[in-house]
Amino acid sequence: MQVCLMISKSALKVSLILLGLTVAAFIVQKSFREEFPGNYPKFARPVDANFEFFNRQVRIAVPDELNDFRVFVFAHDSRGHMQAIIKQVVDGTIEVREGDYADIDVRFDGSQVAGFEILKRMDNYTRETDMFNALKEARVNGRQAGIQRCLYPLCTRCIEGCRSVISGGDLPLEMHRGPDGAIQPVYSKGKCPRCGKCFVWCPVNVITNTKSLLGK
Amino acid sequence: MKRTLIKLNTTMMVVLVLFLLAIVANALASRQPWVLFCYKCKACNSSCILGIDPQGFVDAALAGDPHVYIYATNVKLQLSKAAAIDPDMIVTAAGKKVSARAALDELHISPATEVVTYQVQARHAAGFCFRCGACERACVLGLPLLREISQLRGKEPVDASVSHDQ
Repeated sequence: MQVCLMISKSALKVSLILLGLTVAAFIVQKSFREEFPGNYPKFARPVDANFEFFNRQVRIAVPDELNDFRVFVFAHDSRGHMQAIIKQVVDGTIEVREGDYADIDVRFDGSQVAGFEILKRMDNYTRETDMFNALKEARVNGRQAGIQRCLYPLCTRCIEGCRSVISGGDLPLEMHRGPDGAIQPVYSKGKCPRCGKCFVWCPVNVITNTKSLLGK
Repeated sequence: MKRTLIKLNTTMMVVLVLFLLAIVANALASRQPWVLFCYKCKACNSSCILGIDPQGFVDAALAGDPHVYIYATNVKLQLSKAAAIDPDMIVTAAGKKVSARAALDELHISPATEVVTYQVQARHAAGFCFRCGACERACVLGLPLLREISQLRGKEPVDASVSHDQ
């Protein structure tokens, strides 16, 4: 009897400590709660880029509004895969030099992404694809190359937002390869529940808030 | 002899409990108590396209120190900007891993040269981070790594010119 009492006292103490820690954990994390305005989203236009080829580098002029952004510079290869490298825009220009290797390889099934592979693991490339050569070959062979601001398929936060409020696969937001070869969001306003998650979660401002209940 | 061993055992247990309590207190003080659940399985390591080791953010939260150096092996930026953010940041320049300061002063590399980062402070890595959530998706426990990243960004934002708050 005495032993049972001792154990129950200890159990009570441990339970109280755990309860205290749980309450403290909830309190300290309270400020991380996100708010989602119930508006329609709007989408950034595809990036207009001007490619200038030199002997050992490609200079790409992009609109100044993209200064300091990191974007994908992509080129499609003979297999239909998209090779892309992440580059920062400096003074409205991106430079891809010989020896700059692709960061990601994206496979397609029609216009939709079938899978992707990150090519740099920590400090080593699993496969070295020279982006300068990839861009040059794409130009020579008339394949698509350009700038993609959206980080899909690496980032899927807008789709995750959609999936968290809509059951089934009929989402208002889908990702397709556009006519310029870049992956971009395709939006169906009629299906949109205005949850606001896509523009709150979009890390690169491709999707922004219309600040309007009518979406205009 | 037995009594001495019991005393030693008790002392060690007290020290161990105090150490564990200090870790819990630190995690609570950094407002990221979930980091205690990370068992460093490394599933998140290879998910970041910028080569950022998300476990470094966990370590920063456990230590309560945003200045902890963590791996960020694929952030490309100009050497001058790297040096402006943190001269002690380790970058890969001319095939060598050196501090940004050493790359400028000792290797005499042009400030406009694009270098790739190797080790940066956790707060700066948070500034470079896209917040694409790939690390969170890779985490087998679903730990909210983006919360720590947001907190690190909010507390001490990096140089606006390289901040990725787009």
